[in-house]
Amino acid sequence: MDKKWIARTSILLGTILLTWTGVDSIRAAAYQRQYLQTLHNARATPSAGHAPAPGAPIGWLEIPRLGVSGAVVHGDADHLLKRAIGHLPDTPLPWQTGNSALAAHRDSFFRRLRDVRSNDVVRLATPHGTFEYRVRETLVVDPEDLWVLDPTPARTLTLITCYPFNYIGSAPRRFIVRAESITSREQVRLQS
Amino acid sequence: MLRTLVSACVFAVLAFTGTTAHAQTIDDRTFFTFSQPVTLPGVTLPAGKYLFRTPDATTGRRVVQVLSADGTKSYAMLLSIPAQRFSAPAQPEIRFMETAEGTPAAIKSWWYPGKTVGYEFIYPKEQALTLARTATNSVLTTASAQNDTTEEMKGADLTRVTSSGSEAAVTVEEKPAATALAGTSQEGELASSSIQVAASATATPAPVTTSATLGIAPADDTKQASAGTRRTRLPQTASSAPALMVLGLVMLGVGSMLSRWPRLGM
Repeated sequence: MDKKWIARTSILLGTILLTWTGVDSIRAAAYQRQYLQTLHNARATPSAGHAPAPGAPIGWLEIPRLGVSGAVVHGDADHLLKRAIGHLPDTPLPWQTGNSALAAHRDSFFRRLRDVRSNDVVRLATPHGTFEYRVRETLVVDPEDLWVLDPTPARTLTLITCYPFNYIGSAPRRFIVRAESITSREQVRLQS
Repeated sequence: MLRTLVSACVFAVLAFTGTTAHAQTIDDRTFFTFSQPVTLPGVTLPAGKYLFRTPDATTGRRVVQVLSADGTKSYAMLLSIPAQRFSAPAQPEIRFMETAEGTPAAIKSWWYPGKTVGYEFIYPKEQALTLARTATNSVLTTASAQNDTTEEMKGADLTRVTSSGSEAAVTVEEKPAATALAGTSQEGELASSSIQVAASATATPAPVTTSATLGIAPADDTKQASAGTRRTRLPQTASSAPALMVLGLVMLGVGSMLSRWPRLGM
């Protein structure tokens, strides 16, 4: 009798947990479709340059070789990172000069960052144009290493996720990908 | 009695001027603390404390260097021309130009206390055209879009571009005519001459070792001290989903095993 009760409770709790995580994934996918539509509309009618509201989609990130893609929203709050790639609001927006930083979960949008290589192309489409970057380096740093957000003279993209990738729970370190804007000359070569 | 009084006055004057001379520095170094990102020619700085100075106060187009608060890292070397105001500020002052609502404020000029001649920054053409669209006043830039590096700007013809896109040529003068100030301002504080500043003449930070890499050759980019942003840690990007999923599977497994236990006769 006791064993049956324990068995049923375990099965029930296990089902609830799996359903909960499944629903989260489905909701994230729905948000992505919604953000994509919003971005298409924003590109058709670009705004007058007002700063985006927290949670507003600001672009679509792709790393073609890795198959990474996802909407980028303004802000890095927990609830935003559950459904999109977040832009750190205290760094310049991607269409502004400087070091723009994006963060995402290592078990969802940035899961394949573990396979990133130097010179991989990163593409970020925004209402203010599409920007291409080339990966220059990857780093493993501590959460307190805020120097990765320091300003840069050129347009730079810094991607942040937790490390190690296989860690279960709150990972102790951060995996950083630094990519620099591709010059117009390189862009022509890429397109040809 | 008179001698004592005169001595006291001389002492007071010397003490005052001595104090003033100690506060002023040859390179006009000044701290500014920004609570939000700010835009300068060619760079957007995140919120934080920065050191402004003139590494070489010569005539003509004066260079302004922007560094981290401790002076160890140089973030920008900017060209400026003299600008004059009607009255000297009592404190170091930054003047912003009007920008689109919600976008980082763009710095137009920098003024040192006690001086009516300050520094008006020259913006690269593309950036100036973007700023001018929403600025109330014109933006100082180069006449040609090709002159975007600091070296090219040094000898380039200058112009002021307005929101309508019209341009007016600018003649650089050491003592230009005084103009009324526009835009919002922010005060700074004088910086001590004891701060050792980076000697770098470029805005590119020097390469240093990083904490670790994953076997990919590091680029020239850098490990720098934080510019004093409010953030204290990089964002936490690990969700609880994997742990919950594993736990859910384990519980399902345990439940299934227990429910079959009587039949298995274990």
